[in-house]
Amino acid sequence: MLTDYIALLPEIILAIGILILSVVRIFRHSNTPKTFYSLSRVFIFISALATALFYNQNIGNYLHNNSFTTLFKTLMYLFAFIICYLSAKRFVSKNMPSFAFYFTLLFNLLGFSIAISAYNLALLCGGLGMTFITNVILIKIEKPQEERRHVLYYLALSFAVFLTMLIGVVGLHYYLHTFNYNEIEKFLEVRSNLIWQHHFSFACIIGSILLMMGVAPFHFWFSNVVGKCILPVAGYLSTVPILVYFSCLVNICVNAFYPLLGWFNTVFIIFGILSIFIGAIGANSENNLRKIFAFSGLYYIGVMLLVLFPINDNSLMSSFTYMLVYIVAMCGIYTIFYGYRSKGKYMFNLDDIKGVATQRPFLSAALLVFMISLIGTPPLLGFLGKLSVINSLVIGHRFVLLAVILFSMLILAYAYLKIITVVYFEPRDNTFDIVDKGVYWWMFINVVIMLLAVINPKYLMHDVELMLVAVF
Amino acid sequence: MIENPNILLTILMSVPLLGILFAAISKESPESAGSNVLSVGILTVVSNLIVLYITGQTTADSTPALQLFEKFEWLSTPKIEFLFTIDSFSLSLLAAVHLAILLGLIGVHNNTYRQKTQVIFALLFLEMMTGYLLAADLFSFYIFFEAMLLPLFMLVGMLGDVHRQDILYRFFLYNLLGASLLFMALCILFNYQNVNIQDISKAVLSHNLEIIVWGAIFIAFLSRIPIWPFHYWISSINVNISNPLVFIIANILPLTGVYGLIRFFPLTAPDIIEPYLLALEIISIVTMVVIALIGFSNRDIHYKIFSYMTVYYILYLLGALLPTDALLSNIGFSIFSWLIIVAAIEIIVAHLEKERQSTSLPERGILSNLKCASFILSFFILAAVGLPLSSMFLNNMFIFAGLLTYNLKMALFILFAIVLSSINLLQHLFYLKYSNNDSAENTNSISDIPPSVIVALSVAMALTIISFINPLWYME
Repeated sequence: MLTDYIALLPEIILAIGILILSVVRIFRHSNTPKTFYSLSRVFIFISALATALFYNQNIGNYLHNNSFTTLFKTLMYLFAFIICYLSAKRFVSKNMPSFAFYFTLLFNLLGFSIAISAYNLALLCGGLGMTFITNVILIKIEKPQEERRHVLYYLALSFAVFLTMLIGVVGLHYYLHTFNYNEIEKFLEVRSNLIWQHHFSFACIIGSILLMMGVAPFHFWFSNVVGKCILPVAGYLSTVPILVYFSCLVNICVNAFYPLLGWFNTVFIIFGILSIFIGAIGANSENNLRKIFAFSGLYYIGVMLLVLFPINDNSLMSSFTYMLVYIVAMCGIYTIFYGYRSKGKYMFNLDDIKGVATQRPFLSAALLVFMISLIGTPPLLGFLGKLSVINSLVIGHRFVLLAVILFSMLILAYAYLKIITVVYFEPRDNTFDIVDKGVYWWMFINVVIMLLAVINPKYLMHDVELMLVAVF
Repeated sequence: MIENPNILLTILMSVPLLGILFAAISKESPESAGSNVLSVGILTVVSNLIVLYITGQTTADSTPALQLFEKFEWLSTPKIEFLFTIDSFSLSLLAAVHLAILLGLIGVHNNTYRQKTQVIFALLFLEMMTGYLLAADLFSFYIFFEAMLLPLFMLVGMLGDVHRQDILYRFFLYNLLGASLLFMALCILFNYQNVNIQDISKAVLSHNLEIIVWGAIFIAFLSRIPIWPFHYWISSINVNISNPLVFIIANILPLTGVYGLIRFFPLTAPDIIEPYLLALEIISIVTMVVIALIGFSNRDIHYKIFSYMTVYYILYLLGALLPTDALLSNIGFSIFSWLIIVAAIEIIVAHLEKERQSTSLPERGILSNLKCASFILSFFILAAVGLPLSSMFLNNMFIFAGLLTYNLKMALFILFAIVLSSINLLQHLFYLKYSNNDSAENTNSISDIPPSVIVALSVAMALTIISFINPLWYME
C-alpha cells in the first residue's frame, strides 16, 4: 500500500507545486516574473527525479509505470524544463506576469503524467481532457480583449473534444463494465462480442486523441493557435503535448484496443496521408514562421501515423525516432526564435528576419542545421529518423506510402528553402537585439546533442528500443 | 612507414572538419579583410593534399583493388557499418578535387564579400566529396552523396549571382529528389541483399524490385550529370556564377554522378536496365552535340567552359558505361588533369572579368598586354583541347579508342562534340588575345594576375605536365 503512494510521488510533487504557486500568487505581493519560474523549475526537476526513481511501481490497476512510461515522462519533463527556462527570459525581458503560464504548465504536466501512466480509461480521459481544456489559459495570456474570439472558439472546441472522449469512455464502460485496459482488451479479443457501439466508442476515443494531436482533417485549430499565441506557449504546444499524445495513443492501442486496430488501420493511413499533404502544402502557403513550423509538424505527425500502424516493435521504434528528431529540432527552432528579436519584439513573420544571418550568424547557422535535419538530410540527426521510417516502410513492402512521403518531403523542403533564402540570401532590413546568453547555451546544447546522437547512435538507440518494447 | 596506414583515411576526413572549426572561430578585423579565414582554408586543403600524398605513397599502384580499410559500426538495429576505402582511381579524383578547390580558394583571395562563409561552405563541400570518394558501403555513400547539396546550395545562393530564386530551388529539389531515390533503392538493397558497393550489380532481386532499384539508382546518378532532361538546371545555375570558387565547386558536382555509376556498375549494368542503355547513350550523345553547338554560338565564356565540361563529363560517362573496367584508370588520370585545367582557366577568366568590369574595357583583346595571364591561359586551354601537356592527352586517346572499338558511329559523334567544344575554347582565347589597335592600347590600365596566383597556377601547370610524363607520380 505504501509503495502505491510512493509511486504517486511525481504527481504529488506537481500538485504541491501548483498549490505553492497559487499560495505565493495570492499572499506574496512582491512577485517578479522570475518568481514563478524559480518555483516551477524546482518542482519539475524533483518530479522528474521521482519518476526516474520509481520507474516500475504501479498504483493498483489504475496507473502502470514501466520503462516505456518512464521514457516518455522523462522526455516530457526535460522539454518542459527547457521551455520553462526560455519562457522566463521572455517574461523577464518584457516584465510581464508569468503566473498563468507556469501554473498551467505544472497543471498540464500533472495531467500528462497521469495520462501517460494511465491503465484506466477514466484516468486517461481526465488527464488528457482537462489539460486540453486548460490550454485556454495559455492561449489567453497577454491577449487583447478584441482578439479573444478565437480563445472562445478554442474553448468550445476543447469542450467538444473532451465530451467526445467522454462519450467513448462512458459508452465502453456501459457495455463492458470496466475502465481497465487489460479487461477491455480481453473482451474485445472475442470477435463475436463486438457490436457497432464498441467500434463507435473506440473511434470517439482515438478520434479525440488524434484531434488533440492536430492530425488532419482535425488540424484546423493547431496552426491558428500556435500562430497567434505568445512565444512560450507556441514553443510548449509544438513540443511537449505531441510527445504525450503519442505515448498515450501507443499505450491505449497496444494495451486496450489492439483487437480493433485492424479495423481502423485504413483510417490511420488516410489521416496520415492527409496530414502529410496538408502539412507540406500548408507550410508553403504561410508567411508566419510559427505557422510554417506548425504545418511542418503536421507533416511529421502524418509520417509517424503512417509508420506506426500496424503497431509492432519495429514500427514503434521508427515512429518514435522520427518524433524525437522532430521534437528536438522544434525545441531548437523555438530556442532560436527567442534570439530573433528586434526592438524588444519577437519576430514571427518571414519578412521580419530578412538577412538576419549577417547579424546573428550563429543563430542562423543553428536554424539551418535544424531545418536541414528536419528534411532528413545526412549527416544530421534527422537522417536517423528518415532512415528508420524508410527502412520500416521497405520492410513492410509499403512502397506507395514511401513514394508519398518522399514526394511530400520535397514540397516541404521548398518551404524550408524559402526560409533559408530569406535568412541568408536577402539583404537585412531590421536591426536585431542582443541575444541572451541563455539562448545561446540552450542552442549550443541542442546542437551538441544532435551531433553526438548522430555520430554514435547505437548505444542510445539500443537502450531506447528496450524501453519502448516494455509497452507490449 | 606508418604502422597503421588505415588511419590515413580517418585523417583525410577529419582535416576538413578541423578546418571548418578553425575557420568558424577565426577572428577577422577590417584590416585583415578575410585573409585569416582564407589562410585557414588554404592551409586545410594543403594539409589534406599532403595526407593524400602520404596515402598515395602507402598504397601500391600495381593493384587497382581497394587497399586501405576503415570500418565503423554506426547502428546496431538495423546493423549498419560504415566502410571507407581507397584505390588509385579514387585517389586521383580526390587529389584533383582538392587541387581544384585549392585553386578556387586562391582565386578568391581578393574577394572580401562573405569570405568566412564561402571558406566554411567550401571546406564542408570538400569534406563531403572526400567522404563520398572514400565511401565503400551503401549508407556512407548515400550520406555524402546527399550531404554535399547543402554547402553547394548555400554557396550558389549567397555568392553565385543567381537572381532567380526559383532556379536555385529547382536545383536543390531536383538533386534532393535524386538523392531520395538513391536512398530508397539503397534501403531496398540493404534489406534484401546486404552487399557492399563492389558487389551491388550482382544482387539478386525480384523483377519488380529490380526495376525500382536500378531505375532509381540510374536516375539518381544521371540527375547530377547535365544530360537531357537534367541539363537545364545545371546550365541555368552555372552560367550565372561569377565567383571562381563557387563555379569550380558547382562544376565538380556532376563528377559525383559519373563516379557513382562507375562505382556501382564497374563492369556491366544489371540486365534489367541493359535495354535502356542504348537510349541513354543516344540521349547522351545528342546532349553532347547540342550543348557543344550552343557553346559555339554563345559568346559567354562561362557557357563555353560549361559546354566543354559537359562534353567531357558525358565522354567519361560513356567510357564508364562500356562493358570493361580497363578504362577506369584512364578516366581517373584524365579527370585529374582535366579538373585542374578547368579550375585554372576559370580563375584567369574570373580575374579578367573583374578587371574588365573595373576598367569598363571591351573583352576583345584584353589579354594583349597581360603577359602572364596570356601565357598561363594559353597553356591551360591548349592542354584542355588535348595537346600533349597533361595526362588528358594519352588517357583520352585510350578512352576514345575504347569507344571506337564498341561503337564506331557513336564515337564519331563524340569526336565531333569534343572538337567543337575545343574550338569554342580556342576561339575565345583568340578573341581575348587579339584585337584592333585602339582597344589594345587601353589595356595598359589592366593589372596582370597577382604573384601569389601566378605561383599557384605555375604549380598547377607543373602538375599537369608531370601527370603527362607519369600519371602515377604520386604513388609509390
